[in-house]
Amino acid sequence: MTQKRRKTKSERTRRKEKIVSFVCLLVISVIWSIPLLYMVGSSFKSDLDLQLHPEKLFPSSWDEWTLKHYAGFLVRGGQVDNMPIWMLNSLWSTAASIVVTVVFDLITAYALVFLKFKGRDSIIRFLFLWMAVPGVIGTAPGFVIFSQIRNALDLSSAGTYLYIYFWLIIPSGTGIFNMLLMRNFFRSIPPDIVDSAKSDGAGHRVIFRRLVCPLARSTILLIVLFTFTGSWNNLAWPQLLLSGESSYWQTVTVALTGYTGGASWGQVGVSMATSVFSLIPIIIIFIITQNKMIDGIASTGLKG
Amino acid sequence: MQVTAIDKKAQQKRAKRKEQLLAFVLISPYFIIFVLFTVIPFVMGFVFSFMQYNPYMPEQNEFIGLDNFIEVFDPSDPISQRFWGSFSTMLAFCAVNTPLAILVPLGLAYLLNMHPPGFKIFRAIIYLPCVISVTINGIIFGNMFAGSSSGLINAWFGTEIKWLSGLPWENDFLRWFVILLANVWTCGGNFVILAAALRDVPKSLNEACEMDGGNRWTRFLYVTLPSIKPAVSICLFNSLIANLNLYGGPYVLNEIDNESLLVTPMMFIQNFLMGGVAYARQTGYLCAAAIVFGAIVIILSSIERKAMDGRKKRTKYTEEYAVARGNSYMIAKEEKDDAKEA
Repeated sequence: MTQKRRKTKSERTRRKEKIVSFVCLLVISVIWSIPLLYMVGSSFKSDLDLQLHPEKLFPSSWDEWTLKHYAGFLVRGGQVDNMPIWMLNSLWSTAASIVVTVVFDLITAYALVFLKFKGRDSIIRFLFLWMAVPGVIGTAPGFVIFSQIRNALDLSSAGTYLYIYFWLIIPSGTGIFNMLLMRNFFRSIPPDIVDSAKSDGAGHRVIFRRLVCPLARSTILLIVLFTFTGSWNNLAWPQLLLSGESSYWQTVTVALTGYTGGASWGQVGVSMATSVFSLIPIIIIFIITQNKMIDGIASTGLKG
Repeated sequence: MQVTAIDKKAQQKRAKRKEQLLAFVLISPYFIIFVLFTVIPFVMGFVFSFMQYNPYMPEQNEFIGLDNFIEVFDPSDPISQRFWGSFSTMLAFCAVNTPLAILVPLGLAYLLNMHPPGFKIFRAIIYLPCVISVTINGIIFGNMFAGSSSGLINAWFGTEIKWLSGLPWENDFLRWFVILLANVWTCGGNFVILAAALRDVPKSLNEACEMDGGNRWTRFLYVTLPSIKPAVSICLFNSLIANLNLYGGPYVLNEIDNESLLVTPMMFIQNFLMGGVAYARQTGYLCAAAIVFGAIVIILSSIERKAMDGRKKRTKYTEEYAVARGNSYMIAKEEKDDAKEA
């Protein structure tokens, strides 16, 4: 009875499949990570090594590893260099975008799902329709309005900075996709729970704070992740708003365009080190939350 | 009794009104911001497109009817030539990249779905490029494909190809090729969606098809593909929109002067807006161009939606047709359904 059973044909093919796919994926993963390895490796290479051994991903010998490129942009000539300031600009504006988005999404979705009022359905229909409208039509007039108001206000330097970042942060809070994500989640909460809370005498504030928000934690995390990557990596709109302003004001993604294109591709080491440095926050977030992030994208994609 | 009933009604009415008020308070911040920063610019876009508009010289503003649109469609106008030139390069890129952005992730997801050991790590590695900004993407690929011998790829193959300095479609396809590679590298979003869809394909269907003698290819074609069609449709839609609005990739990946380079409509519009005072008198024209571009985006994406729906109907049709003719595969499928029920 307990003799070793011969493997069935399907088990054997499954095993073969696993080995084949493992080998294929291993090769593909190696190819996929070449650009990133190249980035990290080049940032530690000395300039001479970059010239002599361009074909190597990493410094050619142990003596060639150097931190020179990193030291350069933190402190230069006894002053804080641009790079940390760009990072701070990006960090605070991203954090503000996340807060604005989550607060807006939570309260709006709560009202749209748990409160009855006139015109609720037409609002939702309107939002769904608006998702198909290309944003490009509003770009030019939006920019015109932005610069007209800025000229009219005649702001001081700090005021202009805040004004520009206001235009970066506040409109990003009204992304329809995130709002509908939150609404879909709220709709999946069984109404019985909310009703029983109501019959226990809970008002809307209590339901919102003690019942709905804790339940929505994973959706909030997902929205935070989407907003984080979206806002950190946003290029076109910040580039437009920040064009012609002091280079201290730029976000990191906009500022790094200075390292692309044309002649600046000579300084491989510095540009790679800058890239690595600016990737640190996003890679940390990715490593901590990668499973949640990937599953979240998959599930939202499937629901459409 | 009468009094309490009326009281109750009044109370209910008051509660209802209170709820309405609360709802309006809660949704108003979102919708005020939405209207101010999204709807109003959108409407203004239509207004400006019928005007000769210059924000710096308000006294010159006047309504000129459809002149801007006529200028956009005027083939002899030099600016319009650039606009439509950027359009054709973008469409050609779309035609190549959108299928690739489905096929490559689909292949990867198919491999991943065999659940080799460590598949979560593979998944993370393939998804990782998606969280990296397009600027850094440009820095990495720009240096890898640098034109001199110091570029990684040129050093590997011992060549001195000028990958990035050609104008698209004029004397060089290579730059598009590099942008294409960079785009395929960041296909992680589609990959993750397709992998999840593949995981949800019922195993019993696959096994039943295998019992009926379906080989790997038939199984993929007749069981897997129909089951993951919604996910494919979503991915196709997303990549189509992303490719139509392509801006970052071509902007960061070039070795020639940024100013002279207009390769996608988004770059055309962005370039105009960043031009400041010099281009300001063209604002009306620009809005008209943006509306034309937006309309084409809507048309293309709805064609995509229709095509995906249409295919479903057609296959249903062919299925019925096949059953009527007693096609052997269809009989197998019925058996499969029986097996599923059992």
